[in-house]
Amino acid sequence: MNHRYNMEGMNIELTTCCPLHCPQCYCTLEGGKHIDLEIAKAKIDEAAEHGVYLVQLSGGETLCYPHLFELVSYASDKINTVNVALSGWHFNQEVLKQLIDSNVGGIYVSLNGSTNVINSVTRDGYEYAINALRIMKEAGYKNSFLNWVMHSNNCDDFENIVRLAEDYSVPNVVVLVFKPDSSHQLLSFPSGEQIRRIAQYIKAYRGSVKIMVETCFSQLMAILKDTKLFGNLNLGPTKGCRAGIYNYSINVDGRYSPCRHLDYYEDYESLDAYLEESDIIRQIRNVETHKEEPCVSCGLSDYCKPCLAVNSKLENKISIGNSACDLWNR
Amino acid sequence: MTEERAKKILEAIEAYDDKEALYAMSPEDATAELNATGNNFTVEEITEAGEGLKAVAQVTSANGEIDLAALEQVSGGANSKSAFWGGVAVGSGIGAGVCFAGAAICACLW
Repeated sequence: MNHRYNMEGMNIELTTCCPLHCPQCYCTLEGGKHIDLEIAKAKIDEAAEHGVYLVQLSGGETLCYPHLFELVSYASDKINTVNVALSGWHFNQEVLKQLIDSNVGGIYVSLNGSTNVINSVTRDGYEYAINALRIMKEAGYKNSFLNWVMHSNNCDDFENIVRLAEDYSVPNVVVLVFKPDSSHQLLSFPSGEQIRRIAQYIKAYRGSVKIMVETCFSQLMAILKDTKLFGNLNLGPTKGCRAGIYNYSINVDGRYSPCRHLDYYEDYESLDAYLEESDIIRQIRNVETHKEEPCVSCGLSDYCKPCLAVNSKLENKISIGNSACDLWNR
Repeated sequence: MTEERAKKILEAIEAYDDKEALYAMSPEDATAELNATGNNFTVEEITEAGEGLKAVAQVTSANGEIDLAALEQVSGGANSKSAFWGGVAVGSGIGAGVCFAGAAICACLW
């Protein structure tokens, strides 16, 4: 391995097929296309060469992809952790067995509400998700994760989500930040007060579920890691958005982008060439010098690097900023 | 301060059962809490340990790997206090463990 840039994580968009219609979805689900298996394998080989230790397989609906188990098996031979996100659609005991046999690292089930009413405001497929959790519980599967995207309309339900995870023996709940949807809107982004309340709950929680926060939910991370004893420890590579610097994405056509949520798809002959030559990657490396309001005036500014997809999709530029976030207004 | 003493302080923080509660304390209360189990740290020593933790946090990747080459750079040179504390944290294998208050981080790409 001798590359100028090493990466840590890669996402592959396996398919644009999906039977669900989630209001919050960021994907352009047109045409029902699958990534070519050989292209996906080649990208995994390349990722392994670049030090990638985490591969996330997403869609569309991953269970629509006809080569899912073969690809998981192939990737897990070369990459430390290979995870799959799914809605629960088409999930059954046999699917679970095949994923386990393929050495899947973790199965991430999407659920935004503890009830169908709350979930359906932003997601589809509540019954599918609950069924998948039940199947994994009955099988004693220990590497399940519940992906919960925080919105202004479901944050009061978070305690119930954690309780639901406890009931279904789901060991991990992941709190995801709401990124712009497919129409480039961010209408239900949580308020600062709501983010602080969730942080308080997470800090106080002592139950069996491990509550994780994705790094790009930098606002929440900055509050969680603000300590009275040592000051704010939300610093360095894990403080926020890692797109294009530690992580990258491959879309269904085999093209590179800095992240699933940054729609700058580019063709390069190799990952090396992409990281060396892409103007988008260059802009991302310099993004800390392109900080805009409200982030400039925010007290958390030094400890927060929010999702770059927000300004990319709402303002059409690569810069740090999130006009929907009111944490600056303490 | 000797490396041995610095290591003892970081180990005491790392071994503390409810790190979240410890991090929410003032330096005075945290020192008293750590000293309740037979240590004799000073408030200044505990406060200073934070410099090392910040230095380590700046060079730790999502999977807990530490970029040693970058450590010296972010901590203001080899002779700085934070380089000293960062070096002790890394050398003793405590590494980033002490830095992560709050929820576990997750380099999700969803």
